[in-house]
Amino acid sequence: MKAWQNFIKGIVRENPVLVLLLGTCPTLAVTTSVSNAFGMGAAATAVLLGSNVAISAMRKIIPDKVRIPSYIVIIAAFVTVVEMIMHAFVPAIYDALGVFLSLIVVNCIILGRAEMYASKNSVGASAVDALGMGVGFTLALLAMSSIREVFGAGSWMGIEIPFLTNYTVPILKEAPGGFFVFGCLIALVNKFGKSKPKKEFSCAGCPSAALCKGNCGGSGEEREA
Amino acid sequence: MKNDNAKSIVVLGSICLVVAILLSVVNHITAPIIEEAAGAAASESLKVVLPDATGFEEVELPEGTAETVTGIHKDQGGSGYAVTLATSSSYSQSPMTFTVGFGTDGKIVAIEMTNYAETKDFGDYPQSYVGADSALGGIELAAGVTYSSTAFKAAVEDAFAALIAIGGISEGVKSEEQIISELMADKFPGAVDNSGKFRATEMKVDAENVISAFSADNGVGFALTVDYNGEKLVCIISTSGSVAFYDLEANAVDTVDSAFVENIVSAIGVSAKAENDLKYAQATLVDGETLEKVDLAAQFGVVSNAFVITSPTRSSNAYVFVCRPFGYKDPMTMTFVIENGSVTSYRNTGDFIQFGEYYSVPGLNENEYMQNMAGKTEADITDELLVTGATISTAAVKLAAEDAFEAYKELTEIKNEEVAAQ
Repeated sequence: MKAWQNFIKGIVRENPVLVLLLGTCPTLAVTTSVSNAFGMGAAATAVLLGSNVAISAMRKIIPDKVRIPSYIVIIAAFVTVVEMIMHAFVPAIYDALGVFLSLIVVNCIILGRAEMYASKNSVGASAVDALGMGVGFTLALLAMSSIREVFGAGSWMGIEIPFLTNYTVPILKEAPGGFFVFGCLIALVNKFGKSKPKKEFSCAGCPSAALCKGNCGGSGEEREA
Repeated sequence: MKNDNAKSIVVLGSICLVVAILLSVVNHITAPIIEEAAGAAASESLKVVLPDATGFEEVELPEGTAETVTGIHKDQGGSGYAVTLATSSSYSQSPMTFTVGFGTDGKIVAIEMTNYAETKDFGDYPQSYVGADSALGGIELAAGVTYSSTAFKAAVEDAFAALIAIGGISEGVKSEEQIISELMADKFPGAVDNSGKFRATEMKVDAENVISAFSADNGVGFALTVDYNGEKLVCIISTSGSVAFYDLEANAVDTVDSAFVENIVSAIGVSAKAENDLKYAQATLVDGETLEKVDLAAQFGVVSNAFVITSPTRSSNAYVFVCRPFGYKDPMTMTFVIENGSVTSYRNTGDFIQFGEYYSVPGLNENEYMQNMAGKTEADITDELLVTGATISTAAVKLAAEDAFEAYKELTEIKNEEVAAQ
């Protein structure tokens, strides 16, 4: 049950794109078509799964002072592996994603989950967390890209939709349309989301903690209470 | 503490090692598949650029073929050639690969872009080559595109050269306009920017024998076509006083009479440019010093004017050179004072972004860079002057310094000859 909750939190309550607002750049860039969004989602999920498992497995041997470089090397390795595999086996999606595929290395979701979750939890829990976050990321991209492709291009997965092809809203395929759809989806999730995500950080991790001594609004625990 | 550091090094090193092994294994598996797919895409592109071809036969590359030409394929049905190209790595990190179809008349019939990692949006530029022969008449470099049009054009030129070398096509004939334009760029390097483009604007000249005239955008001179006794000549005039004539086969013509030259020089207003440069040169002087403009005889670089300094404290071999090289985009203006074979002062003037105005490069700031130039001789003008990440083009500074020393050598040689004659 705990594993299921761990998995499901990434999809709804802590959705990385629509709640945590991470990975905004690829979200806006690749959601012009559903197939691109699916490719990016799958690639990011694979990287998340690989990096979370590897980092969790090595969490006790990686010294604190080199943890970020270590995480980046591991993440970059998985991104390169995914990139090479996509180039070899799905060249059309590889070409469509272009530079955004390489930029998964600097996607906040990947490093964020490594730092906040995988480095503190078991391999199994980290894998489930990665899958939940990856699926949540993919679903958010699919939702956004579906709206943008259906109404912006009159098609879905490249299949033309009768009637809508004649009444497209081209701006939805452009950057302003992307921001508009992104904003609407965030608003919807805020409106209908049942609860706020639990914060996984406290004053202990804040560089200004020694100066403010929790006076900025209390410790993390106090704020949540 | 030492143990901690050692552990960090060992762990990070081990991670890198494991990652390197993992990547090499994956690369070993995927590389042949990627290569095969690229080959298939290239083969497919052969049919795209020559749709009427009945079959392709690979032709051996002739000796001396540029590395940008990766394959020449002849249509067995005789409709032409398809050449696969990969742009030079000196222009971008990853090569741009494309296939060009050539008809038997030596003209490009189609271009198919096959791969480029950095963008898929090539715009209309590649298609502007369709119909062109090896003269590439009317083909300009493209600005504002996310790939190097210089690399693209160079690769297409290499393809033409390879096909001409194997006798597949005959050489295209350049138009007179094209010959003149290339001649001006070739003989007036000072007006050519970093991308190799001759940057000049057409101007009106009220002189009987001037057919067309162009003023260099960086103000270093003029390029004209003139009618001299019924023969069309290209005339290059630098604001520093150098004048040269060439026929359309690029041979120097030194039989033009001086009255003809004076007439043209006065018609285009060279002296007005010198007045402007005098202001920059005067800024390098100290109290009691004066300047006098000196003419250069054979300088077509970025030196726009030279002045000799008369000073109670300096030697008679002190000159100010005003240089106007092209920077990253627009022209820069800078002055070099060279005395007894070494730089005594160098300063950037005019309107351009100064070093360190927006951000500073570690170890570099404008004043330090300018001060470091002092004392440099011609032998010191090397790649060590180049600074990566600076807000101005240090390549332009180096070019200007080289041209200033060239001009200095010319002036001192003249002076030495005069002294020897006395």
